[in-house]
Amino acid sequence: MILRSLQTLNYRHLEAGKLEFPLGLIAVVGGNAQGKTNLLEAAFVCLTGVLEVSRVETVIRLGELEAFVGVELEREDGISKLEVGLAKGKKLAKVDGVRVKTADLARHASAVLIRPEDADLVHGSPSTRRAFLDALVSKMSPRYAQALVLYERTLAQRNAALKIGGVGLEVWDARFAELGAEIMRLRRRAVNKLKTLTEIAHSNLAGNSKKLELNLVETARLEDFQTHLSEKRREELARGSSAIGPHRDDLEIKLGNVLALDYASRGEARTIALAMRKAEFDLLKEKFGEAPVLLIDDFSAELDAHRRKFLLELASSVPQAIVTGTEAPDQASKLFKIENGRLEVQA
Amino acid sequence: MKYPNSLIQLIRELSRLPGVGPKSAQRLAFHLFSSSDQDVKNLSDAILEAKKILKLCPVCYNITDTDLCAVCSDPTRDQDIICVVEEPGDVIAIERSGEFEGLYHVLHGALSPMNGVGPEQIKIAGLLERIQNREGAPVEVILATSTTVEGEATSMFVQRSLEPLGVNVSRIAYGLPVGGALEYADEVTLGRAIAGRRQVTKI
Repeated sequence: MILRSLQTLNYRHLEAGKLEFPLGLIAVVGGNAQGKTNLLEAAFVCLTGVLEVSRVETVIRLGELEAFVGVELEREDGISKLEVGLAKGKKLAKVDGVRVKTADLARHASAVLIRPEDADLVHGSPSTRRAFLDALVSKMSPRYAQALVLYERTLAQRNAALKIGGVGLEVWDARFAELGAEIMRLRRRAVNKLKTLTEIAHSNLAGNSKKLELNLVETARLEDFQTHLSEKRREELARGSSAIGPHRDDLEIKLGNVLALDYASRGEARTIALAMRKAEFDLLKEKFGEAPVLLIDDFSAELDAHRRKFLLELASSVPQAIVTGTEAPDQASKLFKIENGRLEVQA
Repeated sequence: MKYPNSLIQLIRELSRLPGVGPKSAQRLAFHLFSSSDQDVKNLSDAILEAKKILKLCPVCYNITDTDLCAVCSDPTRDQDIICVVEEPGDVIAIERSGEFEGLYHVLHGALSPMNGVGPEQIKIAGLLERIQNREGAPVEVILATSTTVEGEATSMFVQRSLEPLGVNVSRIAYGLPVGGALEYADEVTLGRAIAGRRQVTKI
């Protein structure tokens, strides 16, 4: 997929206007706090609809009430226009002028954003890894996306029932176990693919000295979820919330047989996260039949020459990639300079 | 300046109605003020009269102005099928379809612990009593609660409560809207429609 243009209004301190992007490896170069990350984020929001509601307000320029991002996206079957409007607590998406749910943007476009904060996938809490998994598997399977929404709603109702002493809990248990089991099955299938691809990418990146291993750590027994729930009844009533189920599961990451969460250095974490993003890229490419838009923020941060080369090779292997940094990579085919939110083509 | 007290009181009462916010309440209040005395009297009489006359049918809990509701008192309807719905409005919707000839039972809500609605807050006891006290042929119960998370849970709750009574229970079908083209259906609906397919030829 190719990002033909990006249009923004009131998005952080990006200058309002429309930018056209060519093919190839596009480098966006600028000093700190000039808008490099904002630019990639704006494109990412519009291509995926992903932006937590709590953050919507912070991306709208100070003093303004609404912001807008629009992109023209070229796919093998033609060019379409995606638009996202943002206002306090609200997101509004359109595809070719027709309103859609923001979650449905992911059916028309796909993008992978690689950034230094990805190290949180390794060092962050289990919820960070679940969010990564949920977002990815939702894109691969609409059934998963639907089951997840229903599961979360059922979970909230079940927790409310647990808080009032478990009145009428049985009916919530049945549905909770059914949806939970479906999510677990689809997650297992996705993690199997993700695991292989991530481990391959990691050994290409870091060699084989420390082997990477991804494993899904589940809290509930898939085969007899409901029995497991009844075993946990007392504990759950005492804490007033659901103790087992996919909402508590984690993606365990081991590096050289020890938990990366505890032992990986920042650089190692960044490398693992990079391998996970590469796997995400591969999976989305397989799903859509064409490469997702590749957005790489601050390509040189915390990476040594070998890893940087890997990243830039990935960027060169697709029809188009947008890479930001304080300096331009040698491989760049087109150079933009960003200063105080204003993007300019360099000769 | 501030509005006269009686006007404030009226706005407050109006804004307590569902779907009416403070702004609409204010508009309604001004409208009532500028209406003729007769119009306002007609409205208040209509409200009082409706409140006085309307009650719940003691059998099915639908809203009625007679002792027994129009459906329960109609002897030509199939007395062996009971369709369970969440709200009185659902009865009207099913009646409009003209496809259902049986009786109803209105639960007046769906289970939602988050909103303080548990098994005690919905009218299921009447349904169980109604089936236990029947003589003759076994009945069929159709669960027509909505397909939301709460509606599904309610459906399952009713199903389980009915289990010891030995009645046939069915759930309304989900799937494609009639007259809809397959290619425009979303994946989830389509998946459900395939899972709930109906055999047309048997060998």
